Amino acid sequence: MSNVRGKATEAENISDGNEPCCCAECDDEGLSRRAVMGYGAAIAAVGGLGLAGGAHAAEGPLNMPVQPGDRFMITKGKLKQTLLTADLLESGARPVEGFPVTPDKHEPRDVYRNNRLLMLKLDEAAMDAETRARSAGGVLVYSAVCTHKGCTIKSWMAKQQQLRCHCHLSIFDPLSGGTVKGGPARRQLPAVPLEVDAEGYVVAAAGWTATPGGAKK
Amino acid sequence: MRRTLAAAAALMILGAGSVVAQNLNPVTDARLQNPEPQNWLQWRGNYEGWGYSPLDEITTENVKGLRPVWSFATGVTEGHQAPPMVNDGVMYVSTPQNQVFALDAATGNELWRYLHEIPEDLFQLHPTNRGVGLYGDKVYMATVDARMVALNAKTGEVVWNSTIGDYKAGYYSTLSPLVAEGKIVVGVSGGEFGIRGYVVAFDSETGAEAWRTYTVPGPGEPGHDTWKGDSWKTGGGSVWMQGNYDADTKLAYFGTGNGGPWLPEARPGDNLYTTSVIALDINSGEIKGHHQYHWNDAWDWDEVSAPVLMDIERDGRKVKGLVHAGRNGFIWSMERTADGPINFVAADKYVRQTAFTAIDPETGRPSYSESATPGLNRTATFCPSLWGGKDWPMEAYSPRTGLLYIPSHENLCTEMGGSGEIEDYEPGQLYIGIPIDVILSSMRIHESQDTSKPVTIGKLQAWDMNTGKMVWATDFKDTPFWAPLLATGGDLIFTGGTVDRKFRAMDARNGEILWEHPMPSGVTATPASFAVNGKQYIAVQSGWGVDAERMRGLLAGLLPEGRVPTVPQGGSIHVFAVD
Repeated sequence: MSNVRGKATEAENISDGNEPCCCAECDDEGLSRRAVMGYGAAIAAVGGLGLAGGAHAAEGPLNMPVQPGDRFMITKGKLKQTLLTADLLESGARPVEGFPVTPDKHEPRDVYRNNRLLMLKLDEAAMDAETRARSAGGVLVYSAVCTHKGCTIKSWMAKQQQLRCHCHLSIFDPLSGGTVKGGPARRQLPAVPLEVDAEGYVVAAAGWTATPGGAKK
Repeated sequence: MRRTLAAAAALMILGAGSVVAQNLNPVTDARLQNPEPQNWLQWRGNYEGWGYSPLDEITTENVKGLRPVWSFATGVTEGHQAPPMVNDGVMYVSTPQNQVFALDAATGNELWRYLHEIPEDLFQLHPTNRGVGLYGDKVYMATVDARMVALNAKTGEVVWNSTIGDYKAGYYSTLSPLVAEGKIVVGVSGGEFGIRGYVVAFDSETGAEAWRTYTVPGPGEPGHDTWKGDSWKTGGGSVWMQGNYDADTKLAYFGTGNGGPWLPEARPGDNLYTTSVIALDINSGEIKGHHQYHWNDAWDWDEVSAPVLMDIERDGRKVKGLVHAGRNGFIWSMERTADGPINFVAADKYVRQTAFTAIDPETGRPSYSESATPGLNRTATFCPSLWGGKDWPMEAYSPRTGLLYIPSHENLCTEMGGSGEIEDYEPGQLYIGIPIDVILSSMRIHESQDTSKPVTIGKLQAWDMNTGKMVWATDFKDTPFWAPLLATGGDLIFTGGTVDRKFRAMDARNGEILWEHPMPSGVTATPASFAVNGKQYIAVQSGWGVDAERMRGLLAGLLPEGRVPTVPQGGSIHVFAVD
């Protein structure tokens, strides 16, 4: 170490530990293709060898994006398999990872991989008005899927209170609605508007504010 | 009147394009074994992996007059790495997001395009593609969602589409296919996702899987005893670069990635066949020989870059050689044999290397410095950095100069280690063993360097492999150097790789920069050369991204502000010629 110089990081890892497999339904035939012929004039749709369209051929509640009334399951770390309540999170601490769960059976909607989300608690006074309106007692839920190329966001820059994607170093600000603060991402992180239900659990007041997932260009 | 003329011109162009497309010259084994100088039929130009074009119209004398002929926007950002392939006047180019363009090579006029549909939930750690394969009347591409796609070379229509692996479990493909003996041969990325690597071959006509060979042997297979417990199931050994090929022996030589997860304690043992070269029988997929560059990797030193097939004469011994500039900082010279076994010849250090204390002169097996070996509970500093002395950008070999050219990184080191525990494996999610934020802050500049002045980071080196000596080197300061090389019969080396987004021609005999041209974005793609109607062209893609950008970002944080500029994003294809 004496022969090098470098900089320390302010960041820490979002979470460790494990969680159940997220790809119970793997349909890798579900692709469509197209070829565009000559000079942008003729567009020839090529029949995809009898393949069905859409990346999510599997249907059902676990393959749906987050729905109003969904609670949230923490799937990694010490709180693994716990349903989210505001008191579980420490304000300003690193986010925890999880998925929305169905209101009735509390099954994770993890077949839809872009439901992977981050739960954190921040100072409401530091939030912009729109973000504050979306939070429940300081709790915020954001997509864990980077809007650049779909990598799972793993880095929490505690000092700056910003989320960072390790893949291409996009930085997002959770206090201002997940806006992009650096790196190649062009779209803010989608969020889930929250409220607290009668039993004290944090629940989705509405679906994703925008479609989660990476860009294709 | 003007409109009529424009329409007529368009029709003429269309007509010309159609003629080019209709005159498809099928790509055969014979042509690939003896590629015509005017064509660039595979990613390194020949099976041996030389990256050499014999074309010599563009010379050290006239290269100053090199001018743009045409360019073409790819419409996507990120790291463009593929060479433009050319078959009798038609160019085929792949880009990030798995697009393929077929263009008139002399004019850039589009003949067709294929746009692969990317699944919306794909996790793209490395959004790139290193090139298409040309064989028969088809164009082949391996995709980031682990599909193998065969396209009609005249129309771009999908002929077949087969499964390479399960992208949801972290398998994906970025490499160009090796094509030979009716087989389309590719491998899988995913070393950071806990995959078990393999090479897989498809029938070129039907897309049926012909064979699949794991780089991490399972129970009962030779080499399995170099793993303990279940560690082989997530053992890594990814294959994300095209292998080179000896058509005489029908053996393909593929390099393999490091073991996974990164920390050595996660997989005690030598971990065959990770960080190795393996000789595969092209018809059966059987592993006929191997050489492991280093055992039980701890440094993320993938050795996926395939060795160059070249003759070497070392210490009076003439051998059919395999030469590989390792990510581990040594140039490995080996002997390939007709039956498959690979013999160690020599290892020459080409960048500062602090992790190996000795190399066995008979076997090539290195010994390690414990203090430079990261562990589960040990943070260690080592050089070269985790990106190695040379990452994926390929060497080139010129039979005219007899020199091997290496795009290297010098003066970069890494400090990293584990946190005491390794996360549980979850299919399709990161499984590295080292916290992401440790990796993101791991780069160091060697203490010998005064960072108040420009620091040499990139170094293009030319080596005589008969003597094991460097002949010349050209330095690039304050910049990553992700620079795949093209050597030509005009004694030129073409390359980019730097943050100033210059594309350059250098004198292959002494490294002098003879020509440079600013491009729209940085150049990390493989240049190629071809000729149409006797005129020589140089072709390359511009489009900066992936690990070149990661290194740039980290370097910008280590050097004083303003020294490492940002690089504009956006892909394009460029063709140059002398008037």
